[in-house]
Amino acid sequence: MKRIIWDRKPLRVLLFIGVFVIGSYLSSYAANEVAKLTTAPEVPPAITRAGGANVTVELESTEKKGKLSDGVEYTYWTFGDTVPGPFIRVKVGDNVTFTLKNSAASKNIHSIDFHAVTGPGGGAKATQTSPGGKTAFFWKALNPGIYIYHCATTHIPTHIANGMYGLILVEPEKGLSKVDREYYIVQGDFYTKGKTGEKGLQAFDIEKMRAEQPTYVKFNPMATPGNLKANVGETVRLYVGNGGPNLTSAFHVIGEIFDTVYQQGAVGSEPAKNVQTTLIPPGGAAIIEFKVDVPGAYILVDHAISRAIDKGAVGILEVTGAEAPNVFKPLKSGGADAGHK
Amino acid sequence: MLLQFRGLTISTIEKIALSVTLFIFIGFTYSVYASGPQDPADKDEEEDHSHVIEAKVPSDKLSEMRRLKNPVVANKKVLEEAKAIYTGKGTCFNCHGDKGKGDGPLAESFNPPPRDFYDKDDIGWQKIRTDGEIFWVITNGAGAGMPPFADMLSDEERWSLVIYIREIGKSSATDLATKGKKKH
Repeated sequence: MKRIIWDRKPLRVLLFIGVFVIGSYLSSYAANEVAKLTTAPEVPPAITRAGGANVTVELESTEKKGKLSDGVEYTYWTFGDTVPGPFIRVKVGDNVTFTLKNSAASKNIHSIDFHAVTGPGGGAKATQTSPGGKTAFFWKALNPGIYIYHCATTHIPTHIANGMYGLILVEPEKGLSKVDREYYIVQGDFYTKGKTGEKGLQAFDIEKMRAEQPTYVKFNPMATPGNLKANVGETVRLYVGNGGPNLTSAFHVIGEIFDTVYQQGAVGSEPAKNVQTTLIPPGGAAIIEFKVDVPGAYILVDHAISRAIDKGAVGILEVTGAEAPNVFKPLKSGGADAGHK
Repeated sequence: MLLQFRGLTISTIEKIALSVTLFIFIGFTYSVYASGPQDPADKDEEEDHSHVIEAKVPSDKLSEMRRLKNPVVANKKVLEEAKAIYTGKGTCFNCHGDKGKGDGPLAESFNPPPRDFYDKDDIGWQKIRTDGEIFWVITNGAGAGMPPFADMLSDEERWSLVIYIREIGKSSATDLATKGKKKH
């Protein structure tokens, strides 16, 4: 009987390929990804994978001059050069490695406290970062919801008042319901030495901040400009946060009723239905959903209305599409009995 | 020698006594005038200095810290590096001011105010606090205002800052001596 003699070289090659394939499979079991960050009012796309991925997030703190109002400039302290900072989207169960870089051009130490984090200071102690420095920490996303993040370096109110806040969404296991449009808005109160409307570069006024008397109240003051947009018949979801540091927002969209509100950003709780105005405290956020039925310009306001009319807390949702006279139509003006003929 | 005035005579001794009394009276009157009206806030200001003298190091660590010696030797290069930290990544200037007078752009955020290394009010802080105590505060922070720098600056960098802070104190002492305003 002829003995079969195996050539060992092909065997080794096969073994190597096998180990490589199995190793690759095992390493991809927990996906590794870099979180996609967006500038307000844009929101990153919904996460279609399961939770438990290894996600890396990196933000840079900066100090940058920008527009506060027409003819009024302000030196913002930012995450990612924008106010609010970038929107971060992860899923419950994700293992997040967060890195904070502080620009070498910064004049201040900065840090971050994620309200989504379970751990000391929400990461604040681990991320006190000097100009030009870099810090990092790991955290596991245990609770779904929409959460504020903000700087937590002394003097904390000053850092927040200068614009250091943003939102992070921890999606629930099965994600959120599908909607047509998602937008990201954060309100903040600002305190300038000059009066409201006084032109030029304005300095921060700590006494006005302590007295809780802002000169400006703004939505997304240093973000992508322009109106929010939607088409008639679409469902819009707003992630609305409040950086503060002081004022509680009475958030309202003029001409709309919120079909669903996750008050306090409490995903998993029974949402409120048919809400006209929802309270959003400093350091809090809400998820608001509504279907747009009628075309027009819908004005987003803090309904503590002088903040909107006099101090700037205004945004616009522009809805286009066919008129819906069965829902709303202007009637001819005229005498007291117009519309009754 | 006797002076006569409407039958009264004044001896030399009496003249000397009168002159001394007049001199003291005029001197006292002038000193009250020169010092100006008493500001009611003066008393409060003095009381406010208690936070300056108070040790920031916990009592159980105080003696250990007071014994510590600065391992970094002061020289021109160290001072230049320390100044760069003070005005750069250490961000000390934001609160303590460019010249260490406790008057940086963020100073008004804090109560009590940031430490005045220059000792412009001549309270004597530079003499009272030891190098080890200053190093401890830079390392661990103090109260709600001063953050800990243990993770942001190396041991050597923090000791260098102690040298720089002492240098600010020296310039303060020289300036005060020159102006003749030194009280103690």
